[in-house]
Amino acid sequence: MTNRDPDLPDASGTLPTPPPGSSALDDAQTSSSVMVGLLGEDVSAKANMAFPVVGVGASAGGLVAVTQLLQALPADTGASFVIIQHLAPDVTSNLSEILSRSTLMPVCEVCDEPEVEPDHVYVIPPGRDMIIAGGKLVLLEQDRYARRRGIDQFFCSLAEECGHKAIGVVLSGAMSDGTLGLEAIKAAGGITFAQNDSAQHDSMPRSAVASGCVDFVLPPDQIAHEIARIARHPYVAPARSEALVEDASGHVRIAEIVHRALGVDFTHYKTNTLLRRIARRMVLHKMTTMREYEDYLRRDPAEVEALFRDILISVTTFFRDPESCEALAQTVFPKLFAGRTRQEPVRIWTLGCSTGEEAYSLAMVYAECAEVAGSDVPLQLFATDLNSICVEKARTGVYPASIEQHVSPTRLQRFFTKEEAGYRICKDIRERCIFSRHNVLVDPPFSRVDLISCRNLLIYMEPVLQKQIMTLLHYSLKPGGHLWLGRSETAGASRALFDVEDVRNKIFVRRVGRSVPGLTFRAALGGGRTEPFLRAAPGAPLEVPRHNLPKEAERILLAKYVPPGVVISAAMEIVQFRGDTGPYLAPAAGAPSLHLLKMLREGLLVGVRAAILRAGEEARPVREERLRVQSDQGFRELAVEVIPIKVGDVKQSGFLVLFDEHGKSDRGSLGAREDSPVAPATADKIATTTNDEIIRLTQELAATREYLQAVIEQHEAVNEELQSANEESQSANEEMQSVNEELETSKEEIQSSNEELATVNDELNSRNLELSLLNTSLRVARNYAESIVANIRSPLLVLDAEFRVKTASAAFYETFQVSLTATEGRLIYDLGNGQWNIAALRKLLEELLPQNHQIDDYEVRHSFENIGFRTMVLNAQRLVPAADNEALIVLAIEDVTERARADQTLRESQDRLRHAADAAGLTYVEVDFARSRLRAAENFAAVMGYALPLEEAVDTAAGPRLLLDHVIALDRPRVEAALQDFLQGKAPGKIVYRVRGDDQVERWIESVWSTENGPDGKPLRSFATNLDISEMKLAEEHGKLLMAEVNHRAKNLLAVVQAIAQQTVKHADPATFVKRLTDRIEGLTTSQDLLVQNNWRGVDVSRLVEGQLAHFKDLIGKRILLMGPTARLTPAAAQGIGMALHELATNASKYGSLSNKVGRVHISWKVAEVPTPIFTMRWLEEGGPKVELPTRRGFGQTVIGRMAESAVDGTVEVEYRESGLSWQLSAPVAGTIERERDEPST
Amino acid sequence: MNRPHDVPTDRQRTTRMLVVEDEPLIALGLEEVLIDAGFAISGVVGKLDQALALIEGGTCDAAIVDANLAGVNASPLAVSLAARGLPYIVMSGYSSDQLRGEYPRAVFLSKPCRPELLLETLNALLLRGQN
Repeated sequence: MTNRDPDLPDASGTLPTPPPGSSALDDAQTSSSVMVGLLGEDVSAKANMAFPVVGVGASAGGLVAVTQLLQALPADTGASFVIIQHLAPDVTSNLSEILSRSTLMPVCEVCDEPEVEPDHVYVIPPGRDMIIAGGKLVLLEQDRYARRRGIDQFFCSLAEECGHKAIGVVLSGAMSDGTLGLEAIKAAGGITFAQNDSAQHDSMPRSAVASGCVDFVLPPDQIAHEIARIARHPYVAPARSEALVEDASGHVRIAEIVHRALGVDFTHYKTNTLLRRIARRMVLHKMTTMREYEDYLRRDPAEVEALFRDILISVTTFFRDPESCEALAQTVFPKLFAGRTRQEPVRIWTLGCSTGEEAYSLAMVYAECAEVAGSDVPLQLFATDLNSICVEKARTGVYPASIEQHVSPTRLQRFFTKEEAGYRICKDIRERCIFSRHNVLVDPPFSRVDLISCRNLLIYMEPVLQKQIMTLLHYSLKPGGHLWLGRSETAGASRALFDVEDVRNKIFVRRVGRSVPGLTFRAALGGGRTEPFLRAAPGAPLEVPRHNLPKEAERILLAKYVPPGVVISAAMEIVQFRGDTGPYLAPAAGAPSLHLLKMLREGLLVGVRAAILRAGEEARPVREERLRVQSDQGFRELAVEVIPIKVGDVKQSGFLVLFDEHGKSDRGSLGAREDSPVAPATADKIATTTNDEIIRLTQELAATREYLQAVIEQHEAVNEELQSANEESQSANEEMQSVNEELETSKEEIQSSNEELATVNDELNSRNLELSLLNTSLRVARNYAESIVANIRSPLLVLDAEFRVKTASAAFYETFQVSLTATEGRLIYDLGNGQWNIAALRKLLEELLPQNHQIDDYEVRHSFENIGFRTMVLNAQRLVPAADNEALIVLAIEDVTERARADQTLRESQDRLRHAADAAGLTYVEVDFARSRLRAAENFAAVMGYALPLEEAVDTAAGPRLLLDHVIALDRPRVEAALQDFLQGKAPGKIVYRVRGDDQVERWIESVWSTENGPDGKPLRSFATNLDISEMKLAEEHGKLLMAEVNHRAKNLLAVVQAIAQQTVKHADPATFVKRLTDRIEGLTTSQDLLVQNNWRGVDVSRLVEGQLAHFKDLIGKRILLMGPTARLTPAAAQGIGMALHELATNASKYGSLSNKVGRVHISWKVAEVPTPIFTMRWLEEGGPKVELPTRRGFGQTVIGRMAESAVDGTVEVEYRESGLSWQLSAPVAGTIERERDEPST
Repeated sequence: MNRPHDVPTDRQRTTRMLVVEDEPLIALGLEEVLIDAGFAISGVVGKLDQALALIEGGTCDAAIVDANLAGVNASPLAVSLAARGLPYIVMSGYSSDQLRGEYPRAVFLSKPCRPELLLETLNALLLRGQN
């Protein structure tokens, strides 16, 4: 069996204790003649066993205790012993073997459901639970995960099985198992023991003792002695003595004693209950006769209390009857919520609340229902009990952990708080319940109650009391209020007062009607509760008050002889109903009204109204005959008489309206005295003398009668008034009493609150002390902190949540040159004309800080009014507010302006250096011998074309060799040798070499090596400063090439001059030679100039022509006509053609068309592309002297002929025409003309 | 025109000279000096391929080579001449250390060169070759 819901009864029936209510139901209904039924819980009827059975529960430390117990027990007690020891479930137990050494009784481990026999010891096997049922021990599967409740389980079954013959012993053990079981045994009339502080683990016995259900607290051996004694006592012994009933009136006398001492009369409690409880006390006190006990009671008031408590003992649990609880929740509570407001609390009264479990259960169910229904109607729950100890316990609201059996985890969670001792009812539920000692039979009842829970109380009572109580409950309930009885109880004789709502769950509804409780409540509320209550005489009508008999007699008389009627006020409101007015009056539909005219049944309205009006006008009684009223049997005929009633000075205080169906009877009208009821006497046989006398007397008598009648009427009226007033005051009195009683309850509540407050006060005092101690240490800490702040050199600000300055350190005033008054309490942004109103600061305070508790090193650059531009580093910290302190911000300010400036300067200087080094292609490597590190500058790779590992740890001996890796093979031996020399100090460290980078580019590097020595002369560091001199080298190469070129050209030119001189010298005298040579060199120079001007990249044809014909500059465009496209001649062509043009021009000026004043020269050239690219140039003279063929071939002819051809690899045709010389040169374009146009595409 | 050597020797008469010079005036001068000295002229050319064709055609016995033929290095001619055991003189505006390329067994003369020095050198060279 697993996961049993503790709130539900177990359907499978293995739960050892069925809900006690259900067993009592059987008792009460089926076997009233047996000695029974005292309590719902009193299972004495089930004392099936003929001998006592002792249950011994033990856990940790139990073995020693059990052994001691058995050793001290005689072997022939006649009782049976069952040992319930908590055992490890998986371990075989030797317990029975061990225990058998301590006793002569047979000891056996239980198996196979043995019949229990006297003078035997039974031991529970490991891993099982056990109960006793039908005289046998029954083993149950143990719920491995349930809390250990094996002892409770067995004890409960023992209580049920053996009743008053059950004896429970709780020995050493931890936790609280056994407590509930002992309670059950005690409730069943059994006897209970717990080990005293001799227990090794005392929490189990202590828990039992704390519950108040333990009769004896003793060491184990003394428990054994007591058991041995009790086992032979007639109370439990198999041969039951009649000693207890020998004294038939003994219990009555004892009840008297209790009554006198405590004011509670148990005379009408069920006799057997009383006997059982008395007998139990006798057992405990080792007494055998009731007389003996009676004497003891008279001597010892404490025993009276003890007996009183024993009589009232009961077992109650949370949610004891879940089904009925549910029924209440489903049917009753919802009705209570309906149509109510917060101002109308639901009132519940729980009678016989015992230790409060039921009351709290109701309050919890109510709370749950209210939550489901969404109702906020408050609850006022009165819980009362006779037993003030129980009430006291209920008020504390603390219950042992074992209530987990009955209360679901959800409810435990919601309604209880876990404490060391168990569970405490939560404040919310506790506050709704008002506990009070209250004797339902004596003390005034609560009134206007919505629901009364009176469970298992009536069954204690004799029928007479039951009836009284039911009447009283009827009185207390509101109309339509509910009554909840125990399972075994019924409305019984008071059925007339209640309707059944739920027969199964015993829920009743108060019937409409008025009940007068047949009890007189104690009037003196302030006094003790010792005054005996008055009992109603059996058979007396309950509604008759017992005092004022004459008045009552009058009332009976009136009821009997006076017709029914009503007393109405002048406004026709009914003041009093008299007699049975039902046939004439009925409540009208609509709002309740007591207006007579509205209540009159059909047929009466006109006649009655007229009669009242007349009676009012005439101030005398008026009778209206023959009125008809509709009734169930048809119309009835009647007379109505209206009599005005005067009270005091008021003329018409009201009317008496009588309904007289016997109007024709001889009684006649009560009020109309006009018709004398006395008939005139027959006087014929009487003497005349006496006749007159008789007439006179008769008249006098009539007058007297009339007077008397008036007096009587007056008296009656007054009487009625008085009675009415009396009734009203009585009713008021009853209400007052009820209110008073509530006040009494409240007073007790207040006292209890006072107690709590005193406790709280103590606690607060002690806290105060603690606080003042804390305060002192806080002050010390504060002084400490303040002195730190005062001495700190950085400015410090403390701001509140709105950024107002709370305090500032002295350094702040100093640094920012501001005064205290202009700082404290002001917004930080407003300080010093808003010099702190900085966007960056705002960002820090308003954006960053709310998201972080702390901001470190927040830099602010700002120009301050007094101190100029500053760089500040801010450290801000938000102090988390403790309790209701305001949030604070601490702002530490550090002026780092100088540092920042220095940093900046250094950074800039480093940057410059780096830029310079980068630009120069300068880098360095450092070998740190001390730290075995090779460090290369950042730009090393950029300069050298390969990377050295930065900050690499190296073998310092091999370190420098790393530098050789990228030196080209050709230079390496040289570098290595130089390095070696350098390291040995033989040579200065400077060398030029080539390295090949990772990019395969060869670089020229100039390295300068230097070493820094330590104080001991050993090298600390070596530096290699490397400079990339590749460009320098390149320039050097270029220069050399250029020199060679210049050399070549100069010499070539000189060679040309030499050739010219050789040619010129052939046919000339010295003077001519000089002139000619000069001319030719000049021509050569011209071409050279043009070539140099154009960077030796060719000369434009026209410019070449103009250059060579510079002597004829004025003639160009006039007599020398040029025509041709722009075309650039190659240097060779320019030189060859240039010389040819020079010779042609010299010749023309000497012999040709330029030798006279009219001749012309046409110089034209063109570049033709087809059929092959050919450059042609023509020199054509005209208008000169007649041309003659030259007589000899001179140098000139060679120059314009062969030499020109050779220069351009072309052909020259020369014609000596009569009109002038014609010179034409044709040459392939390639080699002659620079094809500039092609250049971009190639 | 002054003649340095009035009487040409047999050797001069039977030696066919190749002049490789890109500058026509210089080439003209050289040709005149050689002709005046009695040498047979195998060819006067200014370009590398023309000169190579003449050397490979076996039409010359010795050569005067300008090292720089309009920017083209004349080293291949030197190699080709040396391979055939033909004596040659390299004339150049460059000094010998400025010259690039191979000139096996070359005799260098710097421009401008006195005709006498040229002829002396040439004769000495031819004599050495004969011996």
